[in-house]
Amino acid sequence: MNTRSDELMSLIRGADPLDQDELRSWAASEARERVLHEVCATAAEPASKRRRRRSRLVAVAAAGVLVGGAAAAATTIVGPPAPDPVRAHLAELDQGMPPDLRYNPDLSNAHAVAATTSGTLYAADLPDGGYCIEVASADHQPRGGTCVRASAAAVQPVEVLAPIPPDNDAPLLIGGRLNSADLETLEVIYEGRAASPVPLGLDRYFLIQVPSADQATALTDGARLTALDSHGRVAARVNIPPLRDNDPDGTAFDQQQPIYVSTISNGTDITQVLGIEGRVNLPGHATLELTYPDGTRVRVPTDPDGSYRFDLPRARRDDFARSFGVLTARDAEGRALATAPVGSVAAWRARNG
Amino acid sequence: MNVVQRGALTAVAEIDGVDERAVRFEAVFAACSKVVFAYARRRATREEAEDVVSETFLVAWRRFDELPSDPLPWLIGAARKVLANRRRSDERRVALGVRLRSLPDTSRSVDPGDTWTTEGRVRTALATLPAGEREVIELVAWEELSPAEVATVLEIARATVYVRLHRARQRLARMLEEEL
Repeated sequence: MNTRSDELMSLIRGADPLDQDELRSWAASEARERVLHEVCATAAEPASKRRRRRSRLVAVAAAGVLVGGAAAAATTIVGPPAPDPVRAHLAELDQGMPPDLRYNPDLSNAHAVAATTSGTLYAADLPDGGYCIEVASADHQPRGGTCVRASAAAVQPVEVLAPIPPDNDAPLLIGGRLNSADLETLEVIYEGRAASPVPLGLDRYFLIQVPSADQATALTDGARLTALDSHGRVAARVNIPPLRDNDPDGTAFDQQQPIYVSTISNGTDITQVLGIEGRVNLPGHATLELTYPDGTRVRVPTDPDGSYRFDLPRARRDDFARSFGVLTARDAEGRALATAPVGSVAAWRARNG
Repeated sequence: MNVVQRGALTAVAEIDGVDERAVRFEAVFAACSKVVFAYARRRATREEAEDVVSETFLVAWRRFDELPSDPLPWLIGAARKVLANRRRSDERRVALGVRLRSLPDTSRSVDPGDTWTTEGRVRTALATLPAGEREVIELVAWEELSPAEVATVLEIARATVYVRLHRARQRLARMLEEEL
């Protein structure tokens, strides 16, 4: 563009009718947040794809219309109290979270709700009516836990927690709860086998110990759960993914992601993001930029192999507490090749409830 | 001591599982909503602009799998269609004599008397351009889109964008000769 054209474009930009102050105020306003929430509320889908990793939380959306039925049976029998390692592990789920994002499970009253010969399922109530569950091995070692707020339980008929075993010979345990009061019975199906009934524990919790004869199948093919209503009709289904730990380091998918992002935070305050690191796995990428939640963009230097580490300025470490930024990889001509979200662990939890 | 979370996705997956699509959508919203609002606000009232952002991102959610890696031009294109649909809808209401509310000023306000300032003269000059040319040069100047991105927004060939841009510049240069 020549100088005359540059001047012309400057004139046109100067005639921009947009009030920048209004734009800034809108970007930080509740109105903008409201728009997002409206879109999310309108677009809400019953089924949500859950990412699998070290601990597989499999949630099933309503697979049928659940109507009528008896009220959930009240828990009248309290199982043995949870051992300290289990309480400690459940407490870790709130570690570093700001007060309003903590689950605050009632750990002092955490207790066993279902058991097999190889393990126990413990549960702790949440103040909002939800719960936390933890699968523990027979020697009381925590194998994996999760918390479910009441709002989430209300839309997920069945909650399933299927921890990946420490090794392929360890007993396979699958815990969970029938959230919907309309569900009366539960069955498990392994590939090539007939359905087997699953005994329910206290307050509709359950713990399945995969039979040794089906262990290999469950490791490679997973299993299926079917929940039936009082009429024996299938009211919900859950597909449990293969339980084999084929990614012991949790890095198998890193190279498959166009932009692998790892956030660095202080373990005591996970609303903060101290920095980001990872790698751009895109041939032809030339630059990487970080867009803060307020729209500010900064260049993130990358090494020749695409790896990067970027320490956030102190003043920016709180930016991701509630909102997400974006990493964008571009080619030499500035075209975006891929994007990846960046948020604090607290922001992710806030997002997922 | 710093604790490296193995990716935000992973960290959360260990806690509670992730609706990855929703998270990516929220990231797109965080990155692009301001620009989409700006686009709409330049062409509509604030209330309308917010509606346009909402409708645009609702479309984006429904067609999220079609969203390109750089979603901004696509989103502005969607916002443009949302605005156009609202205009058509308003026009139909007017034609039917069912004018439900006073129509907002759909074009930027060009005060005929405001020709004493450079800004006013530029706006007047822009308003006299053919619609296609005006749209292209505004997208380049105000939305800061590249010609390729403008082509995506308008769903026209890149060459057409260059032609319109060239013509718009020529016309404006003639009209604003005194300013240059």
